[in-house]
Amino acid sequence: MNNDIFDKETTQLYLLGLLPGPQTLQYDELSVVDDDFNHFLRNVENDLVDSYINGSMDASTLKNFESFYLASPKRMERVAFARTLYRLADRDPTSRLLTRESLAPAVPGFWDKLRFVLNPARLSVAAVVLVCLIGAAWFALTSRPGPGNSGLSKNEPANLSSAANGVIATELFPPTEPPSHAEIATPANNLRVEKRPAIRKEALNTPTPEQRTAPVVATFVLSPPLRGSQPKNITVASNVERIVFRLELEPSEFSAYRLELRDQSNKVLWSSGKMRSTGSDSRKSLTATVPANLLQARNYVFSVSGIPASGEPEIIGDYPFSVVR
Amino acid sequence: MEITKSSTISTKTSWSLSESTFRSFLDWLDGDEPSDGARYLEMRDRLAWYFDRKNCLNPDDLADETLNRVARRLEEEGEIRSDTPAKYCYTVARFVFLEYLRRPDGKNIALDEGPNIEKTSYLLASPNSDETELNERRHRCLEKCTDSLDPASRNVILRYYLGKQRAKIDNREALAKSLGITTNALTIRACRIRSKLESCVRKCVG
Repeated sequence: MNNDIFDKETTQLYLLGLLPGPQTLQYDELSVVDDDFNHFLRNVENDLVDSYINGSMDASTLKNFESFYLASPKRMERVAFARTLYRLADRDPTSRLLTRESLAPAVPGFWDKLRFVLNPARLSVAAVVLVCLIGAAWFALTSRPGPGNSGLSKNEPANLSSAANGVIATELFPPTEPPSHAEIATPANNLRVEKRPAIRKEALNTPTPEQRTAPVVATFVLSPPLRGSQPKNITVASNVERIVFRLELEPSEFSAYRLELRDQSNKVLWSSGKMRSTGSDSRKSLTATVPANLLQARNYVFSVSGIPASGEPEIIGDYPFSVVR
Repeated sequence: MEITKSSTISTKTSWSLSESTFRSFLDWLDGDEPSDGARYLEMRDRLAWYFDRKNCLNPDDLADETLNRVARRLEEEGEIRSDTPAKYCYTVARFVFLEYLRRPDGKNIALDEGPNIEKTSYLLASPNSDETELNERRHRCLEKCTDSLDPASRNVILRYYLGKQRAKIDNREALAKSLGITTNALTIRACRIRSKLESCVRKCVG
């Protein structure tokens, strides 16, 4: 894979259908003919899909991703696969344990500790501190007034000496709580025992990729409108990313249909491919999923066309609705 | 690797591919390096994704159609020397795509349901029970496919996709280090395993 020759950003634009025609042709050819580029392309595509799943995609890329990349069932399947893969990896106990161990910071062993203690710089600092303390203690003893110019009980120097040692000991070996039984086993186990509860807690509190990134979907059912009836109001919350419309059909002979979503100016905002209805003959319906950001607080209409076995599609119904945000 | 021409090579015309021609076709695609059909599957996959990026409704069928035409040409001509096999396949794919665009169903993008709606399983997240069931099925298939990997590959793929943001990056670096390879080499390895798994899951889900 030659990352120097192939540019990730441009390749990403290619995957989002944003490259100009001639460049697209060039990338089309490379994707089939060039082994290296093909691998690179797969890699960039995986990264793109992963960033969508992980919610790390910027707004502009997300818009293009949803409107272009997710327009293909095969590519949507790829996204669904990636989501499942992350979920599996997240749930797999073996990989979690292995990763904890590989991610754990290096645990200092006996020789590491000894090296730490015998570090020349640390030893010299400790020696200076020791000399200063002994000097201070000597000064205190000699300057204290009292009988024989000493004023000192016999055990006082010993106490000061202990105090001085205490300071040095703290410098070299920071005070620690008494080790638990499990911690005594080996230095390596030591840290692992301390670390595990924290990691486990994090795992419990952190949402899985599925929970974190599942798009918010709203579903609406549109019935065939009665003559003179008002458009159906649908309220779309701001966090909704995708809207699923189920259009209930009047009985008809068609086995295939096509849907178009139009705005008030009759501009086609979205169109489906050839669709099949679902449900029994008396209660057929069509399901369409559209990105929520396609719809503003306005009136829209779904036009349903029936596709005969031969001949042109025929419009069989309009489903007006009004979006409230 | 077992490849049967019946599953992939079908033609809309009366012409049909004989066993010997199919074998010659595989050999031609392989060039000097026999791949036991792997090259054929790879080319079919690349073509299907090419048609998919063009938003064709039936990318797999169009890939088959392309390979079918190439095989036919090879049978008629005896040999094709004008281009490398991959380049020739792409050239034919371009023609197949242009013909597709002229077809009545070729001008619309299937944003929702295509003709093979029964076979597709692409819904991402939605409340209905069919989709939940599909997600569960996909998960079971992925577990099954992952279990069928050799332990080393299984370990790589599960560890590669574990963690979030910085933890994920650290995890991958640690994984590469433990395997004694660069992170770039790890990415390539994980990408290949992922492709293999994806293909396995697609077959399993049906």
